[in-house]
Amino acid sequence: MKSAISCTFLFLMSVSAFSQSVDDEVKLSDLAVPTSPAFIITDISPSTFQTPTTPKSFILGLVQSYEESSDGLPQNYSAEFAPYWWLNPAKRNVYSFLGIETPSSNSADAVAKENPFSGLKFTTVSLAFLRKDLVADTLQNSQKIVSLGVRTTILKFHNKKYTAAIKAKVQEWHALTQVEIEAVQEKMTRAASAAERTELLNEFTNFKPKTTASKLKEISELIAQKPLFSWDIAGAFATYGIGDSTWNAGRTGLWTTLATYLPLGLGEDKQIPENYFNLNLVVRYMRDNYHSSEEGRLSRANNLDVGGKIALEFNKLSIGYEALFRYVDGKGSPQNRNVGIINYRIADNIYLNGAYGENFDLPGKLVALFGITWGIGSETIKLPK
Amino acid sequence: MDTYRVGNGAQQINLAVDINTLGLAASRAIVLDLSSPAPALTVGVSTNATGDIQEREIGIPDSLKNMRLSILTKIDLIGDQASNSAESERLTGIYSLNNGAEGFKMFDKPEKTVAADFSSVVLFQIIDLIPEA
Repeated sequence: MKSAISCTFLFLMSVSAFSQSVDDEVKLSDLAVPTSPAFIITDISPSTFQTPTTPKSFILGLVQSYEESSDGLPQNYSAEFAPYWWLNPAKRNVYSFLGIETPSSNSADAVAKENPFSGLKFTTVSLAFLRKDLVADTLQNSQKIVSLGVRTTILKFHNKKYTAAIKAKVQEWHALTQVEIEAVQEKMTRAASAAERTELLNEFTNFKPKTTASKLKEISELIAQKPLFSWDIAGAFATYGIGDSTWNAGRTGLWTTLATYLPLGLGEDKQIPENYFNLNLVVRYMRDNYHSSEEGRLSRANNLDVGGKIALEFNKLSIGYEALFRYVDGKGSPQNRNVGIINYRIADNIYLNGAYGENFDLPGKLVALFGITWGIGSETIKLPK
Repeated sequence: MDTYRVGNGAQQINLAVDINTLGLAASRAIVLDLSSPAPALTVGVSTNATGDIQEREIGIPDSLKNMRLSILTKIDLIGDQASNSAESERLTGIYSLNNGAEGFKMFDKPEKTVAADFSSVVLFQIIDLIPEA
């Protein structure tokens, strides 16, 4: 029995369009490897970062923020990009994005294969230059911060039907779109003036036929299908400019997640699983050389968390249990996390979340969280930067 | 307006289309005579959602001179709106003709039209095929 039990009910309504939580440890989904580790480690909002698509735009962004700076460092600049697309842009196509082999023009019906290492090419680099007070002392001085992070999916694969299904749907979209093009192309080509052609092009571009829209929805649902297995890793390092010329290591973070989603049945269309048994194994290491101890003194935090999550996901309902064991300076600690979690999707973008158990910041105490997460827009897919 | 001098030889003129996008793309190339109501002739289509048209013969100079070649590519983007906006900017189309009087010639500035919600992009390239000057 716990020495004390405290229950706190927290009603949280947060509007989060395309954003991620970056601080606090009590999060209901914090077992995932962060997508932008350089931002996460410095607690900055990823909504402000740039996604340079070429080396030129990256350098231009850096130079512009450098020109606004008075201390020799780019001023409040953060960026995230996938270098692969800079080095090999000619390989960009929807099949490389989906991680399946591009069908040969001579054998459109050939069996498509999934490349389990396709996630490697989407390895992203996140970089941030900012001024912020990350030293937990009583002074309110902002430091110059330089943070660098890397994230990748080393291995990812779906079931055998996934690749064939997605290739077939993409090919169906292609055939339907060819019909759409055929219907308008001659008229556009014969347009008497540039203005007429522009009007026709605008009309065609914004026209959403039900046939292709429905096919795109099916493709998006297939893409959103969870992999049978995935292995993600991320790392980040932040260094602080203390004074004018001294640079000290600030925070270091390493994350890795092994996740498996075993389908428990197919959805209504008999192609896409909707129910999963989910097992995650998580290891994360966080070191903060400027941490505030419980006594309020500046100290070093050196935490290794090892644990995982087990969950059953039934379409709108997810019930799971998370356990993370914290090792401080290599030794076991009472600061563990054992939380039962329930999520229910009330509507497309509204989720009811609940958690009950003990968390790192309140060892020996039970905590209950209850909240609604309200997002804007539909569940979406992010293209690689 | 882009032009290509096809010349007067008996050799086949070659066309290739290279679409560079992470979205789903489909392309079609036609030639037609603007002064005639005769229907357009399809000279190339993409065979998969890369939108590429592999290098192919589209006709001899005599049959192509004074014709208009157009290549229309429809791209549907499958990311969120922010990703699609970025992708709509960086996606490209490169078109090349070969074996005419001008030899190999590349065209890389198609007319690009982006949907208001960034979910679709259309690339349109017109090339007037002219005889030897």
